[in-house]
Amino acid sequence: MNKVRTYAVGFELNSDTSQISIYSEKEKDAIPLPSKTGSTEGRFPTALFKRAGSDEWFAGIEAGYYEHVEKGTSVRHLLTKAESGSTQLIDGKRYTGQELLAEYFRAALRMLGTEDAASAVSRICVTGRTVHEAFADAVHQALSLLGFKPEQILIAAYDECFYRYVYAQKPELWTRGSLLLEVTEDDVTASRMTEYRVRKPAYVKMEELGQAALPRDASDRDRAFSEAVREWTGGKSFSSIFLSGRGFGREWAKESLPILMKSSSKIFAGDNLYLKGACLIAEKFAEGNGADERIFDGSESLKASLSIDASDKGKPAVLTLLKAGENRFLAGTECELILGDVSFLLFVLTSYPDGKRRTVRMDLDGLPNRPPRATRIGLSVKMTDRTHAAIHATDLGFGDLYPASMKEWHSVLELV
Amino acid sequence: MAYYELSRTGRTTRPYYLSSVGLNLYSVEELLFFLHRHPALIDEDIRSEKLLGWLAEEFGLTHVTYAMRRGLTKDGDTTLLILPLMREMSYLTPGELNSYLKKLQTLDHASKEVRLKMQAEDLYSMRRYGAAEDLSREALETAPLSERGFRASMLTIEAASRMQLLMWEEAADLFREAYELHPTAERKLRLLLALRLTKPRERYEELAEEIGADDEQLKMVREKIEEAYAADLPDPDHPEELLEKYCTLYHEESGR
Repeated sequence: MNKVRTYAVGFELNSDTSQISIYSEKEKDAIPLPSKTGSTEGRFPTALFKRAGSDEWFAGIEAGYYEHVEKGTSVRHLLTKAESGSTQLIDGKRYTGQELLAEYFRAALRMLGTEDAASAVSRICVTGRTVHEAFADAVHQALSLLGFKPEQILIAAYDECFYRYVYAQKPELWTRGSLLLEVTEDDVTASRMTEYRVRKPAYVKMEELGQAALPRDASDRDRAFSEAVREWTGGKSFSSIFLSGRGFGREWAKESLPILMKSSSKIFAGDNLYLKGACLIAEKFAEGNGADERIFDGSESLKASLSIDASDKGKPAVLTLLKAGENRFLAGTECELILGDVSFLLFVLTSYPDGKRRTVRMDLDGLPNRPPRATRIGLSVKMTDRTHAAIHATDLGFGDLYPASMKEWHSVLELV
Repeated sequence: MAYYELSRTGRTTRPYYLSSVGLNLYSVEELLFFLHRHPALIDEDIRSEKLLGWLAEEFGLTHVTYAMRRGLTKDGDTTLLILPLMREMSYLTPGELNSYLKKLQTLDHASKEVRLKMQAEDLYSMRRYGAAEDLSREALETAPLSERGFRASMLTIEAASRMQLLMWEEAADLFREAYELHPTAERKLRLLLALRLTKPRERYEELAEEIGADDEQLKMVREKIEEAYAADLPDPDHPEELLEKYCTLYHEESGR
C-alpha cells in the first residue's frame, strides 16, 4: 500500500500578516509557500472574507481581492477576536472568534492543495510575535474545529523557532554563538544565543542585548545601526549573524555592513526565519518526540525538570515528567506508576543551569489501605503558566485484586 | 523496596482469568503480585500453556515464556515455571526471592490438608469467603482427628468465612466448636465476639460466664464492638444503613 503523504507545516500567525512553510524531504529544509502563484512573497494579510449568501471563505490575498469585487463580510482583528473569545454576526449567524480563526486556517491551508488539512498535515507548529496562553488556546480550539488532534498541534515562541532553525544548520554556524538582529522600520533589537558546554546536557541561552531607535533618514539610520551593533558585539566575533524583519536594506547600510562582516563571516537576512524554525519543530515532532540533546533556556522554556525517582525492573530509574528546556506549551505527561510501601508522591525538582535539586511531597490522603505494590497511580502533569505545573493523581487500584477508588488528588508546583 | 515502580509492560484489555479464585488479571504486575502473595493458590490455571500464550501475546514476553515452559513438563516444578518471570521483571529482591522459593518448596512437600489450609487462608484474605469455607471443610475432612490444633484452625477459618457471609448463628457455633476442641485466648476472644453479635445481652453474659471470660476479655469485646460500630455506622440513628451495606457486601462477595 502506498504511504499517504503528510506535511510538517510551520505557520507564522500575527495580527497583521501570516506565512506558511512545509518541510521538504528532498531539500531537507523548510520551504516557505508563496502567497500567490509565481510570487516569491510568502507573507499574506491575516484577513478573512466570507462571500454573501454562500459558505465560501477566503483568506489572505484572496480575502483582500474578493472584498473589493464581491458582496460579503470582511473579518477584522481576527487574532484579537479569537484570543478574547468575542463574536461577530455574519449573514445572520453569530460566529465565535475561534470559529472565525478556524475558517481562516481552513482557507489559508488550502495552499497545501487539500481541503482536508487535518489529514494532510502530520504536525503543524504555529508561532507568532506574542505567544501566550490566550494565543495557544485560540490556535488549539480553531485547529480542533478543523479536525486536528491535540498531538498534531504545536505552539512555539519566536526565540525557540530561532534556536531550532540555527541548530538545524551546520555547527560552524552556531559553535561560537549567534547574533540575532530584528530590524523594523523604527528600531533594531539584538539578542545573543550562546551555548554553554561545561555541564551536560549543554545549555543554550538567549539573552537580549538591547534595542536602538533607527531614524528614517538613510545616513542617520546607518550611523545609529552601526553604533548599536558595535556596542552589542564589543568586538567579539560570532559564528553567524541573522537579520530578521524588513527594516534592513543594503542600500543604506554602507557603514553597518562592514561592521557586521567584521563580527561574522556568515550573515543571513530574511523575513522567514521564525517560520522556517516553526516548520523544523513540526518536522522534528513528526519524526519522533521532539527530544533535544540540549537544554534551551528560552522565553517559554521550562526552567526546571520534574521527575520521580523510581525502580524499573529492580534497577533505579528516573521517571521524567517535565524536562528543563522543553517548550511549556508542549510540556506535559500522562503516565502510571505502582506505589511501593508509601502513600505519597515524592517529586524531584532540578533547576537549570545551577542543577539544584529539591524534593516536593504530595500526600495521597484517603488512599485505600492496600499492601505494597498493589496500587497503580495515574499521573497527569501539565503547565498552567510559565512557572507552574498542575499535577493530577488518580487511584487506579490494582485490577480486580484491589478495585480502583478513582479518588483524585490535585496539586500545583512552582518550578522555580 | 523502592517507593515507586514503573510499569513498562502496561495493562491489557484482554485479561487472563483464574477460575479457582474468580479473578481477572490485567497486567504482569498483577500476576506477579498474585504469585508472590498467594503461592498456595498456584494451580492448573497458572501451570498452563494458555498463560504463557497470554504473556507472549499481550506483553511481548516470548523470550521469558521459552524458559518458563520447562516448568510445564511432567516433572517440571512450580519454581521452574515462575522463576524466569520473577527474574525477568526483578519483582523481588534476592532475599525476598529466596524466602519465596523456600515457601514454594515447602508447599510442594506439604500434605494435602496443609495445602488446603493455606489455600483456604489465602482465599479468605482475598475475600473469596464461599470458596474459603468449602476448602476449610475439605481440609477438616482430610485431617486426622488427633490434629486438634489444626482442626480448630480450620474450624476458625470456616467460622470466619460464614461470619462474612452473614451466617452468624452457624459461625458462632463453629467458633465454639473450635474453642472447645483446642482452647486458646485468641479463640476465646473470637467466640465471645461472635456471641456478643448473635445473642441477646443476657444470654451472651450467661454464655460468657460459662466459658470463663474475665473482665479484661469482656472489656476487649466491648471495645471491638464499639470500634466496628464507629467505623461502620457513622450515624447511630440510622442502623438500616449498616444493614444495607452488609447486604451489598454479601451479594458482592458471595455471588449469591
